[in-house]
Amino acid sequence: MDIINLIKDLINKTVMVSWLLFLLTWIIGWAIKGSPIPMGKTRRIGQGLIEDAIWGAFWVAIGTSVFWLITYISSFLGNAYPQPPMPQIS
Amino acid sequence: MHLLLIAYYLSILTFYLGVLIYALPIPLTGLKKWGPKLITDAFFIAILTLSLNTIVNVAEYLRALAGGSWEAFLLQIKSVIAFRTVIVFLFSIFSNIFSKFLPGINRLITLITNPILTSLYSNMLLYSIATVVYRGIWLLSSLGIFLMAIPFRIARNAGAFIFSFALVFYIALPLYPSFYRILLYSPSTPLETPIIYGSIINEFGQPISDGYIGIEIKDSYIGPVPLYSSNYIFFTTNSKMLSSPTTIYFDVVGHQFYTNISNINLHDVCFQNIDREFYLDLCRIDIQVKGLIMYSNGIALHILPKVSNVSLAIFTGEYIKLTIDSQFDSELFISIVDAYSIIEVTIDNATSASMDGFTSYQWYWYDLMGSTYIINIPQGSHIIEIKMRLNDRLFVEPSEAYSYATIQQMFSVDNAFFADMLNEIARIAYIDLIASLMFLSLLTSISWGLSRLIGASGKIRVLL
Repeated sequence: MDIINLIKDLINKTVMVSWLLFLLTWIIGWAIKGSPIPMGKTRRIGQGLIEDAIWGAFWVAIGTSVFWLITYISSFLGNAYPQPPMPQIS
Repeated sequence: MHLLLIAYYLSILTFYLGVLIYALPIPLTGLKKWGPKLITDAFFIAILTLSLNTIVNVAEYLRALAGGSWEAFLLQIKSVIAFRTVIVFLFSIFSNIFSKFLPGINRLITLITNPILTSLYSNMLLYSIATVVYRGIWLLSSLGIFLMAIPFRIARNAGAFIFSFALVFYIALPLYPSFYRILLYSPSTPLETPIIYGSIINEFGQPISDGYIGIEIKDSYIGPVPLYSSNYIFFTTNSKMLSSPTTIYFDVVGHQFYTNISNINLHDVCFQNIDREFYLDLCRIDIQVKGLIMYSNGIALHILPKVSNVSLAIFTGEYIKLTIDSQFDSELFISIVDAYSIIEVTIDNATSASMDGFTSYQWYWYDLMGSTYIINIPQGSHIIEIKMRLNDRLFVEPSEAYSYATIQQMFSVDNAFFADMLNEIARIAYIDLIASLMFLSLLTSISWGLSRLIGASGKIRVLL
């Protein structure tokens, strides 16, 4: 069970880090987008960062629901599995 | 199950790692492409993990639909292996007995035994793969899914291969007998010559390693046939032989000892009459010689009536020591060819001075003369010791000409029979080898195709 606890621990840390990073990336993206650099390519980087940040936030938010859905369907088919972990932000 | 649990949690970890990469403020497109890949991977592995039970049940259903059954398959492979082992064993007795009389036969037998050994090995390979897959289907598929669940697709190809290997072999390996039957066609005329073999023991269950047997069928007597290491082998081109009353004697030192085969149709007593896969009529009959304790090199000890226990401590050409335990009076017979002479007999440490006190009679045994002495043994447990002297210049066993004549009789009618039998055996041995290898490679390529579907990688990265 040690390895499972390790993995659960990693999952929690990853979620925490990704929430913070999402915020950071979003800010940086808007910063680059709004900066007075005239080159179009740099601006497109900013656009890409913002998009990815929003996607990331979206997936984090519904990830738990998707896993819960998969577990529910499979328990419907007869397999019993533990609940997917609900990682907390704290 | 433990592995599956770890795989499940790993898939969740993979999902959140993908999210993390999405959220990284690094604009490297190569790294950012991993984000969606990891997320879809995670869903796929989670679904696979949770539905493994269903997948294995579907696999069992497919296998039953195709007509395969693991128990029947394992039983059949075991019997095929046993049969080939018996054939190799038979051939070794054959070559040992007859190599004295037909010098070239050893090479021929080796030529035939080699393909049979190869087919034995390929069947054993099939059997070991079968047991691994049958016993370990859950372990192997969980291991495969676990490997696939490791993030960043590190072990995905290997895991996909193990998983599909286990699944495909679980479904399709029991179909091997049907595949084999496609390749094996039956010859036009099955060989009708029966081969009779078996081991020889005495009434106390001890094997008798040397001697000769003779077979009497309807007033014709075929013998002496020498034994090899307490086994005998005998065949005849007269296929009606098995259905007429036959008596088998143990033919040594002037006596024809009765055995448990007296006036019996041999077909009725064939033990382990193996199915006609090789189209050989193999008939194993174990013979129990009545009354005989031991025979070796021209000396035979026999006893009448049957006592409760005899243990033979020493039996050489110069000294015999045995212990007899009986509840009634009995007579111990010692039959020796003229090359031996008895010096003294000791019963329970009481030595008798001369052999005149013991009744005796003389006999002919093919080209030897000999005599039998009868020693009265009272009731109870006694130790008997016999000292003898051997005259080196006389023979202890009949001339080989007699055995040679018998073997000529067996081989005479149909030399083509022997060649046919050997051809048939070699053909089946090669088909065994080819069929098993073809089937294994067929299943391996199917499992590779399935692993491409699951693992989605074009390069060959299999387990080995």
